Parts: sequence; structure tokens; C-alpha cells
Amino acid sequence: MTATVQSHGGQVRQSANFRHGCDNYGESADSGRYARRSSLRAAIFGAGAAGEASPWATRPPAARKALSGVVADVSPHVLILRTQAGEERLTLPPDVKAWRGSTVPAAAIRHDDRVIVRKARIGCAERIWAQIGRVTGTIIEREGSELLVDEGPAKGRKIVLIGKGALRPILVRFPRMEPGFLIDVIGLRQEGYLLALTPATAQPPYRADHPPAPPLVSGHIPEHINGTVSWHEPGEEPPGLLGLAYPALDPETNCEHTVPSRHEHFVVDPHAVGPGCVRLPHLSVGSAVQIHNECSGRSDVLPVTSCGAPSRLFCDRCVECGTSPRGRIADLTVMAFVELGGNLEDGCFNATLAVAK
Amino acid sequence: MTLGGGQILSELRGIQAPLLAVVLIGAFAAKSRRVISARSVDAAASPTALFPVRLRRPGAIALCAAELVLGIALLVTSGPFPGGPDLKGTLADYSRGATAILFLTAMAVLYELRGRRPEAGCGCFGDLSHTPVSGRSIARSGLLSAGALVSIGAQPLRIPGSPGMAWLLVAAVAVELTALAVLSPELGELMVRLGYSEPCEVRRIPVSRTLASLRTSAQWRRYKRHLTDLEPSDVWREGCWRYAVFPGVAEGRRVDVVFAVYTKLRRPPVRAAIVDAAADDAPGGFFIPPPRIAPDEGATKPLPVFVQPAPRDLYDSL
Repeated sequence: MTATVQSHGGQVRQSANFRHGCDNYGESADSGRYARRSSLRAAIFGAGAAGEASPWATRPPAARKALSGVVADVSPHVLILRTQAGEERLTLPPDVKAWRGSTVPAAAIRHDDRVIVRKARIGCAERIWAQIGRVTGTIIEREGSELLVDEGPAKGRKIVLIGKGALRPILVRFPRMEPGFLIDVIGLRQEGYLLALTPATAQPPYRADHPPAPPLVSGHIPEHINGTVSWHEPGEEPPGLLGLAYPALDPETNCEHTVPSRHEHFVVDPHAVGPGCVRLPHLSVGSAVQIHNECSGRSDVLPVTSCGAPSRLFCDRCVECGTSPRGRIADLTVMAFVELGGNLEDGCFNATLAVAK
Repeated sequence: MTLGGGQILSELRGIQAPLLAVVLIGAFAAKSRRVISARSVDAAASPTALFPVRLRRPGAIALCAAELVLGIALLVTSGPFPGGPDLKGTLADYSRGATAILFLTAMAVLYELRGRRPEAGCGCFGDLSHTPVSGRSIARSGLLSAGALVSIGAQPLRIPGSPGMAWLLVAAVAVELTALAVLSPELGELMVRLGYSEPCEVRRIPVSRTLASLRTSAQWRRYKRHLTDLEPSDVWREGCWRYAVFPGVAEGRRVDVVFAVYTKLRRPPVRAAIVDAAADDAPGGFFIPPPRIAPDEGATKPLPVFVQPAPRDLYDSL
């Protein structure tokens, strides 16, 4: 690591003081307050469709497709994970797909790897992602193949090292690898940095601080909004959290006024660049939204768990199954993304968002 | 073909140049506006998305310059010209020919862009051109290049010989403009911008304004006696409604009184409900069983019940 990038000391976190008044489910001591909001709203306007479970309700293990843990043991036919709930044994069928930087045999996964698993059925793995990580934000320093990326006020700065052999494919999608421009890469999570291997999208042509203005909408925001859904690493969120970072939290009661002004060169406050390029209704942490994955056909009602303002900077489209409309409508937790049928190495899926009634 | 029909065609050929000039200058103005608002030439580089990176910015600058120069040249050579008819005719033909080449090139570029970058907009008219390239955009370039080609060698514009001729000419131009409009996705975007008023879901209303409206409402006067704290314990927003929760006591039990205030500046509708305060703040606090009678008239009377219309019905009524 070079001295320039090292001067920021690895993963640099912003002081927690900035977040006073900025709702975040995972980092609040009073998270029950957010969970209660849906029921309080329902007290006035009625509950949703009969049988619709609260987005905060704990799902039994049998109902969940996604699982995360640390590899205790792996063989060609069995994977044993250490999870929060204890040890879990998973059968590995012959057609199981595993990712560890690229598609690999399941036996290539290593002991103590942190993995995300999607189950085909109880006790049987369908897909495995080992040590997968992602960095999304604004490049603020570059030294050869090493980048310092600012992921926004909440997540701080991350170091990205572009892997050998990955520089060319990443440069094809991100030709402006220079400070002030956006980057979104997926790779192997290492101690203190991300080894970038795959571009997650095409680089927007504009500088990070000048995203396009959103299209104007007369009347009401449509009930169903189409766009791109991405995912983010857990960071300090509770492991296994099913939720999403929402790009359009209420500016009056959330993060808009809590970020101190920063005059550092190339650092972009996503709250200050406008609403982004997709018009979304203002919501709050605790609001329930329905996300429908257009590619897999799966739907789920998820709670808003944090501020996803950095997603506003990206006006890209997902081309996983057709071309989505421009703009990111939600940034799911990694477990929610997998639960909805998304493949982490793809980086996105086309989706429809609706505020759950 | 009658003499009148030949004259119409001749006039139609003559009108192409000023029409093309308006399109070119409009495209230049839209791109310039985007560059100025973004403070970066890269904002006008969408049409050059397929170029090598180092050529995108010079390509965008060259394109804008070409649009402006050709637009002015077409306008100038459509009317009286100081250099004499020969010079004017030469310049007119060259500028119209160059315009035809520009639009033919645009057709080819848009076709490639649609295939290789299906998510990219053409950027032809700046911010208005953000939808992915479709057959409409390609056909529009084709129509404009055809207009430029037929205008080569056309007679200069002159006043029609009769009112009937004038009306025929107007009708022919209207048909061409309609065809251009149908082939232009930017028109829909422009109409939306002209008729815009901010939806309630994204309207910015300060929390202080919401609470002030709440405190002057009939619902507040009705429920205030139950409140143990006049400051809200929680405030949040979902779409067109902002919610405020106040701790309270009712019938000897701890309750939360929740108010919903519409995001409207003057006299917003307010709704309210009383919910049993869950001891552990777990989701799903249950209701105090409400008796279904008229509004209460004193502490001994049961609590009122308010049946709320569905939010979408309420939108319509507002």
C-alpha cells in the first residue's frame, strides 16, 4: 500500500457525532421505535392485506432462503457453517454454484471464509458466495491500481485494490478512474481493503457531484416505481438483517441536516446533490416497502433500515433481464438481496418498488 | 403534377432549411444548458458515448460547434444574403449537404448506441433526452437527413402566391412537424416540465410547520387531554403523511396518541388514533377497544372512533 493511501489508515470511519438525528436501524439504541412505526400507521389507516406479515417479524429458519456464516468445514458434498444460531450443515448438490472471486468448485471455499448461502430447500445449498464484498462511492484518491473511495457520510472511506487481470475489464466499464468520479466494484473482501475483481455497473459519465436532475412527475408519484436495486455490505448492521437503505428518506427528519459541511476536495455529500434521478416518495426508517424482483419473480415486504442517499449519485440502469429505467430505487442488505433471488456477483436486479399499505 | 403541386413541393423544399436550423440550434442550446448547469463539458458527452474516452470531450465540443455553425448557416442562407445569389447558393448547398451528412452520421451512431449501450440515452437535447435510444430517435434522424438532402438546390423561401397556396404550405409543414413530434421522446418530457407541480409525496414541509398545523386542528383539541407530554416522542414520514406520536394516558392505561398530518401547507387534513403503549415497544401494539359512538363529551364518556377513508380515496377528494 502506498504512503498516500496509507495516510488514511485503512478503513476510515467518520465520527459517529455526525449521525445525531440521522435514523439508522442498525446503529440505534432505540431500534424498537422504528419497528413500531408500521403498526402505528396501521392504527390510523388500517392494516395491509389480510395475512400480510409485519416486515419486522422474525422469520423462522424454514422460511428463509438466505443464510450467512463462517465456514467451519467444507467438502465436495457438505458445507458446515458457524452461524449466529449455531452450527448449520448444508448439502452441496452437484450443480451448486460457488463464487470466490470467480465461479469456483464449492470445495475451493476456504476454512474461516465468511459466506452467504442461498438454499434451494432446507439443508441444501443452491448458491454460495465466499468473502464477497462491494465498494460503491466517489474516488477521492488514486495511486496506480489503489483507490481511496468515499462511500458517503454513513459508511466512510474504503480502500480498493484492483486485482491483477481485473484492471482492464474494470477500466472498460469505469474509464474515468480519477478523483471526483464514481466507482462501484465487487470483489474479495480482505482485511482492511477490497480486492476489486468485477465492475458492478457502467460508470456514469458525469462527475459525482453533478448527477442528472430527476424527471418531473405531475399529480402523484406512481404507486409502483421501476428501477435498479443494488446491495451493500453489512458494515455495522446486525448480521442477517433483512432490509434496505432507501435513497429518499424524509429530508426534514433524517440525514439532510446532520452532515457537517465538508470542504475536502472530491468528497461529495449525497444529501447535497438533490434527489437523484428517480422520483421516490419520502419515507422514514421503519417504513415498509414491497420489492418485486423482475428477474426472479420473487417479492418481499422489507423495512427501510437506513439512509441510502449515496444511491442517488448513480443514474445507471440494470441490464440483468431487460433494461431497467434509470436510477437506483433501493440498496438492499446483502441478505435481502439474496433472499429475493438476486445474484451478488451481478450487482443488481431490475425491480419494482411499492410502499406497502 | 399540377403547377400548384410543383410549387408546394418547391416551397416545402425551401422550408426545410429554416426548420433544420431550429432543430440544430435547439439541440445546441439544450446541450449548452446542461453543460452550464453541470459545470462540466462531460455532461454533453452522451452522444459520444461510443468514442474512446480521450475523444469524448473533443467529440462533444465538435458536435456542439457543428450544430451551432450549421444552424446559423442554414438560417442565414435561407433569407437575403449580402454576397449575391451565387455565393449564397454555394454556401446554402454546402451547409445543407453538411447537415445531411451530420444527421446520417447521427443515424448510424444511434443505431450502434442502441445495440452496444442499450441503457444510454442519446443526449440529443440535453436533459430531455435521457430515455434509451429507440427506433423513434433513429427514424427522426433519418427524416431530418432526408429533409436536408431534398433542400439542396431548393429555391429560396418566398411569399406564397395565393392564400390557398399559403394554407397548403402551412398544412404540409404541420404534417412534417407532427411527424417530428411523434418521433421525439423529448416532447413528452417537455410537456411534463411545463405542467409541473410537486407531488405531495416529495413536497418539503418543515416539521415545525407540521406540528403547528397539528396544534391548531380539531383532532389535537380532542385528544390533547390524554397527552402526558406535549412534545412528540417520535416523528416520521411516509409519502403524503407525516406522523407524530405523543405519550399519553387513557382509562388508566399508558397509550400512544398518533396523529397523521397531510403534507399540505394550509389547513392540512389530520387523522388520529389511540394505541396501547406496548411495554417492550414490540411491533403490533393493539388498539384500545373503541366503542362506536359520537365524539366524547367528557372524561367519563368512551373514546371517539374515527373511521378513516383509504389514503387513495383521500387523495382524490383533495
